[in-house]
Amino acid sequence: MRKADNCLIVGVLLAAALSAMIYYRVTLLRTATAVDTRAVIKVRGRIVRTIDLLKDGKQSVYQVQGSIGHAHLEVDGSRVRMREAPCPDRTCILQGWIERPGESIVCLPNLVEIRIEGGNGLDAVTR
Amino acid sequence: MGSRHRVWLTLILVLLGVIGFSLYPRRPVEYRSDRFLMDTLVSIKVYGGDEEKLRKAVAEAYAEMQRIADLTNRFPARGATEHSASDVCRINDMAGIRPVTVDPDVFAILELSRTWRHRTDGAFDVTIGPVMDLWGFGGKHPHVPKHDELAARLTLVEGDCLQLKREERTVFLEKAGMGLDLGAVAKGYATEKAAQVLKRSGIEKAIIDAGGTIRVLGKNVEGAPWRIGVKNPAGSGGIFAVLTLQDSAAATSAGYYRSFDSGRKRFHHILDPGTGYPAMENASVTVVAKDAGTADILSTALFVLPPEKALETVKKLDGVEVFLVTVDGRTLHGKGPAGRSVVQSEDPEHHAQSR
Repeated sequence: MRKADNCLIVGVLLAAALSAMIYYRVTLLRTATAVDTRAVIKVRGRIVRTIDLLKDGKQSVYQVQGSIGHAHLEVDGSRVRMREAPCPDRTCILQGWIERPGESIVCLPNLVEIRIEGGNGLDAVTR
Repeated sequence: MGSRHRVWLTLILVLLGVIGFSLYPRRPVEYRSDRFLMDTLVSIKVYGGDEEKLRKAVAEAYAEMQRIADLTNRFPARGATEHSASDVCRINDMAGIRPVTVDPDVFAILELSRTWRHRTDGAFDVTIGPVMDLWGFGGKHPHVPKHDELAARLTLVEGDCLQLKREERTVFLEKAGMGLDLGAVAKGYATEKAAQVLKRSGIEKAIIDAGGTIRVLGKNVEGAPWRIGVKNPAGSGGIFAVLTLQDSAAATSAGYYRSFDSGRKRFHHILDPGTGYPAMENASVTVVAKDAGTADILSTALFVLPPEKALETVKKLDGVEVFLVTVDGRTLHGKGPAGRSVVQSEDPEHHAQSR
């Protein structure tokens, strides 16, 4: 057994330990920030945008191109609503703000969906 | 200890570590998919060991929902292929003429509907079709009908004139002009069928969300009951209660969907089969039941009944639970004999009054 072999083994072990630490660190960090939520925007069932929501986030308006026209959604801190939509029934706008994971707003005519995900919240909302 | 031994020992330890790590139980695979179906967004989320198997089961579940949707759709134009594929269209076409043989599932939906019509003293009636049409719900321009027109159409809403013959599996609407509308039951029934498809494929953990009609299998991925929020019907939005469900279903009927304004009043699509007008005492009714079909029917039936009567009715229903918000802002909670208390109040100002 040469000194070089020992060095190699120690090196491999160190690398393994380091990657294990990084792995656990990452998962730990992820659970630690899991209280944060995000709004997932889908058009025709495909994700077009994901917005991270923060308790003290700024108010801002996003525009997405739906099936029949532009939808404007407003983010205010950790909540989201449909502000303007080209649909005739305006059901999506009437739904108001959503904030909790599992809540969603669906605009059927425009095929736009906003869903809150993340956090340790709800699996779904009956409505 | 010689250095050779030390090397071997280290290697063995590392090997054991690798084996141990790979045997460590992994979280099950999650597969999720969304589809627009029955005028709403349906999302199915399932858990299991093999993604390919999950994908296949979910595709079959959607196919089953689509099949029920096609059989119960009453809106395709006459002459279209969708029209002849719909049992409901065929039954409505033959109203007052002759009985029609239907798919076993359509027959089952109608039997289920008849049972609940009797148990809720007529608060639920699938022969509401002609009155729904008069209001124009389902079309682009809903409006308040004239009173005498409504009174005339109301004579065609008569559950007793819906003949079901089990042996021949035929359905007959006795009077010409009568029409079925399965809008308050088809989605729930289809959701239940989808859940049964998943179950038969060996899936033990799943959640189906059909535009707010929810069916869950087993517990969630954390091993706890699924947490289902109940939407607050008040203008401020949000959630005002959380239901914890396991192997059961929840459905909500509320006045905030499919509604329109006329004059200073707001009208919605949940019509009282007795009067032909929207039921105006409740803002939202959420029902928990063993299966999604029953939950869907009961949420509509109990929405139509006055709140006190709805609570009385639920007391007699095994395994059923209701969570009700009246138009004047009261939140009421009632349950049948085997109903578990599944409601947690979220908003301190909105404590459920258990009774």
